[in-house]
Amino acid sequence: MLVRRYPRESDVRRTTSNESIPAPQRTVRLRILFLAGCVFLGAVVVSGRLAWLTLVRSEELSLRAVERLDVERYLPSWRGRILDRKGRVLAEDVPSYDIAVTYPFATGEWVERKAVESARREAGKAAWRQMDAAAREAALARHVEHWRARESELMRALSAAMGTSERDLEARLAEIVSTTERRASAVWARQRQRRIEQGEPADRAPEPIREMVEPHVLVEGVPDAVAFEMRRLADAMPGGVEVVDSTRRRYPWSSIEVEVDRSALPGHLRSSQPMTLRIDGAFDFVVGAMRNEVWQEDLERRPFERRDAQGVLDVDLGGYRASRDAVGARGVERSAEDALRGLRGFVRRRVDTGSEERVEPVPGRDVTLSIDASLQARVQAALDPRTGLAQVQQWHAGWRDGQPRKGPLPVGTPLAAAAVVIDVESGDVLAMASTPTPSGAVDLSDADRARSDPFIDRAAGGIYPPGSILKPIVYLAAVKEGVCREDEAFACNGHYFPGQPEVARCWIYRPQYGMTTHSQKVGGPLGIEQSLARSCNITFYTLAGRLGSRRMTAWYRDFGLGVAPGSGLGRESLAANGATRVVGEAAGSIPSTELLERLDARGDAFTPILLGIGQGPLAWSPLQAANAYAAMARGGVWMPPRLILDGAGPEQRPSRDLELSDSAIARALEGLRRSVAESYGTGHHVEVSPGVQEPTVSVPGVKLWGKTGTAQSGALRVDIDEDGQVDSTITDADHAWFVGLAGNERDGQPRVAIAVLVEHGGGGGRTAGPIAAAVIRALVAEGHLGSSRARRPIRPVQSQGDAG
Amino acid sequence: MSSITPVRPSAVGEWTLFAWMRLPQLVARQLGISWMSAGWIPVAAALALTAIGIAAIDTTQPAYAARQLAYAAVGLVMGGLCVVPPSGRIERWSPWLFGLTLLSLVALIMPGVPESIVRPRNGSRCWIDLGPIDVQPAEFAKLAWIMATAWWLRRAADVQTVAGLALPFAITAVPVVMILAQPDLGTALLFFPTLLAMLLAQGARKAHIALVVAIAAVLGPASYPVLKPHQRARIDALIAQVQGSDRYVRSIGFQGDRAVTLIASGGVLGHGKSQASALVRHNALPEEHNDMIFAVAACRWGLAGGIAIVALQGIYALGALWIAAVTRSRYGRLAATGIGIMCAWQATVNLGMTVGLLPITGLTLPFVSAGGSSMVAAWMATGILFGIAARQSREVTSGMGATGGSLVSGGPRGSLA
Repeated sequence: MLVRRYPRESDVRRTTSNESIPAPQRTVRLRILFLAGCVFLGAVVVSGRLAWLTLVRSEELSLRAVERLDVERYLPSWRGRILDRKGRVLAEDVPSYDIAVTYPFATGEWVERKAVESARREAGKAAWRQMDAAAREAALARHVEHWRARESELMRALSAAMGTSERDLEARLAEIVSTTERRASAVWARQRQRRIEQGEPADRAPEPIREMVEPHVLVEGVPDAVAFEMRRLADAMPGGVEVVDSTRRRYPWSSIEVEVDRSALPGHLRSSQPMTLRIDGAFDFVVGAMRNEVWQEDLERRPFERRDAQGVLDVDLGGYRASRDAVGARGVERSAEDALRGLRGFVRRRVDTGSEERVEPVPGRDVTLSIDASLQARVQAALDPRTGLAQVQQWHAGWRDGQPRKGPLPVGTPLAAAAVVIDVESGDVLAMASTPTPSGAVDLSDADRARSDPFIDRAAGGIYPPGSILKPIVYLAAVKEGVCREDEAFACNGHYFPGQPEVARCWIYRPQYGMTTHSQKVGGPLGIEQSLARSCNITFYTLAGRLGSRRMTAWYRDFGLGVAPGSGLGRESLAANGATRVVGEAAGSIPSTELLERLDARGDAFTPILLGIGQGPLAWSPLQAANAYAAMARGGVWMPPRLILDGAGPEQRPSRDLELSDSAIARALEGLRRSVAESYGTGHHVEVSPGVQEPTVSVPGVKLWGKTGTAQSGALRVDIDEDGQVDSTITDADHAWFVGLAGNERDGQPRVAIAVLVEHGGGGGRTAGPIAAAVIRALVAEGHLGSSRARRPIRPVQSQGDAG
Repeated sequence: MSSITPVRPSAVGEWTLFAWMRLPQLVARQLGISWMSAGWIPVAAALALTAIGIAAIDTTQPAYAARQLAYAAVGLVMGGLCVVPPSGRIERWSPWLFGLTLLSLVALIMPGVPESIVRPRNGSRCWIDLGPIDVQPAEFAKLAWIMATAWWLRRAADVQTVAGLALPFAITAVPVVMILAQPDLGTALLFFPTLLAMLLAQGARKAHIALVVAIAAVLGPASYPVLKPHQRARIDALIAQVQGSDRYVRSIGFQGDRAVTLIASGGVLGHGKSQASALVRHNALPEEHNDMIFAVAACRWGLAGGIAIVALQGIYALGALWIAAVTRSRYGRLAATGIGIMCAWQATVNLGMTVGLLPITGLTLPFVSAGGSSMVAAWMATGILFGIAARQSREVTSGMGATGGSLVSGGPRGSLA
């Protein structure tokens, strides 16, 4: 192997001067050539990659680079208004302003930052760098003072303008900080976990989360004048405070003053002096409410951005954005969400050319309700425990031998209740009220809240066993099916099964009513009118026995039991298991075919006949009950109740003629009329004090058909001493129903169907009846039953935030 | 006879013309240099790169462009001054200059130094505050180290023995450790490849060099576990980027991703100034006027501009190596090799990280990136290169045009003077 000798230092040392050494030898030059080769290689590699990027990947990547030149700003849309049938505004968007602060402002870091900034500017960059820590501290102090003064000036002004204490504002700031920190630590922990799972280095400086960058709302809904002043202050506090344009949902009727006429109330509640009630939340369930929080289900239902299978981004301008978006949370705000919402607009600006593309927002559509706001307010007042009707009274339990009987609940206990009024001809829901309401329940005691959840819409969402109010339907079904004659009379001997006086008894065949029977009282078998007026169980056990459970169930379904009524309050929603279910509106329950088969197989003879008196596995909502009676009043034409007026005429709306016999309907109605008009009727009178009877429902000029129902309820757990412990379980606090029809005495035609339910109210006639009477008086006052006497109109209470 | 003879205008003109024609000759004689030398190759490349750099900076940060122009002027003056002393004197000064820069590096990392003099930026203590200007001593230390190493190799060691090799490595380790302590990994990594090149030029055994390269090739990947988390993350991000994953695009890989996007968007010929400016601004490329200036240039002038920059960097380095090959001064050869290789290595690493081939570390692109210290230091190096070329090879270069270069011709010739 050839070893080339390289000149050693010793060779070099022989030369005396730099200037005269020999030129570099060939070996050296080759080595330098090798280095040049390395340099060239590096240049080739870099150039190759450069060429690949600029030639091969240019198209794709330049699209991405240019995309970032588009600055998009979305323009807010206006949500449609919600109006009542007379055009009164129940919900509307009003322009408003939010005062928003940044996260550093909330933590106080902003003051420090601004102080350093301004102190450095004042001192000059170079001088600032020359300063030592103490000098800086001294220079900072004054600036910290200055910015802190700005901060407290804003807080003071905000507190003065909005009537919020500075302490509350501070608390809100603290809340912003703590929520953000909590969220950040959760996000960071998740990111760290993901890094570990992906085998990446776990420890890395965490990036600020979105909440640390975006402003937080400190005060919402600031009116114009305040916003102007705040903007002046906020402009002097860049990076800390800003005034954000927003719209606020205003519910003008959320608080109403109602004058309650007490001249026709039963017993001691009667007074010549009207009572003025401030009602909060009368429209909480019908109109609904908004939430400023977007949930996963919203994002799944209608996302703002969606990528299709090809990965192309599709933007739904009406879709939800995870950050700040308002969503209809209840009532029509939820069910008519897509109509109300509208579409955002946007401005897309190319920053380099300045060209702008603008798409105007599409405001949401107005939604008109069938509700008469004024009537609704009066009905809500009738249901208000302060009026006294929806409150346990002694006459609910009654008297024995002149002594008050002990009822299941103490006298004075507020009762949850619901009332629905439906216009017979159109199916329009004129009023739909439920108590307690979320906004009215602010000062509800915990015990009351536990017993009656204020977030349940008892009118359309709560379901209850129907009890006796189903009896006319059983009769009509039996006639239609040919299992009884229209004019058949039924003997009541107190119990249904021969030789078994202990089961399937008539309600009257009990010790407290002297073990009597209806046949004894009437002196023979009862016609259907008598049976309905007296609510004889034996008659309907008999009819149920003849019909059989399957046919009866089918008829109940025809009258809307077990089917979501489709009023417009419900919305289909995707359940977790992928099935759709309707929220906002209850379907109620009806025995399934399987259940009926099981009962047959078991040889259960009692449950099928129990269905005939509305007990057993049956439940429906007051809305469904009122609508079933409206169908009856229409001559057997069933229509879905209508809450949202869409301009469709009656012929365009789905309806179902049940082809019932007119004369049978007339007989059933006659029974209902006698129930309230004849002294033997279950809805005729209330014994308000020992020996003193007052008519349950008697309104001058109004013709009335009614049916009481006393439905066995589930166990009620009560906490009498309000210590948070359940003290006793009450099983005999039945639900009270009163369902009926009302019309003008002159033409004698039913115009409205009314359903009143009082949860755990006891006897239908005694508890629900007087409320139905109040509802009918409200209808009269609002002119729905013909004559209207001039009354003081209902007006919403102006709330403080509604200035201007 | 009048004592005052009016000077004819034409005479003044002739004299001026004469003076201007003679001046370069006079200067050359005074300084002992030849104007005709390979020294112009790196100067031309550096001038072109500086101009491109200023234009690129003007695209993204017009405020910095004027300052960069001033730095370039200072650099040219300083570079010119570096031509003045004869190389023997520069060689003698080398160890002292190196000592001076070492002192400034010590000042940077010494705990007691007040923050008014050394103010940490981005967590690194790299700058010394000299009132109106900030100086980055590491930039000058690089040059001083090349000179000192050339001085040392020239006179002391027999680099063909392991012992002779050990000492240069030990000397190199001193500034490297101090720069690593700032910390400035990018600059520190420039030294050893340059040292290897200089040793190669000095005649170290190829087996030794190959062994060192092999050890580095093994130790490099093996050092991954002991790297700092952010350094590891950068390497991970680079691997992800090359694989086409956007896993790190929002975090540590952001800079690399945006740089590559901008370069690719330039296409063949690039964009107009305002378009390029908007693209750079709205793609929010960090350090775009500084470490990432190549992305701006490629966005502005496309593949053509990018290739031009790569080629000019190559020409600079190859020019320096040419000078090393033809010079008769051993010190000059070592210094020119060092300057050429360090500049080429720095450019390669910078370009490599900008185009997404190497992990991102803080290194500027010589002559192009914004920054005073690196600009002045690079021009001073160019001045030294020019001096070496103009002094040592004038008689060779005089015949260069005819012979096609002096790489193959050898042997001393008589001095022209």
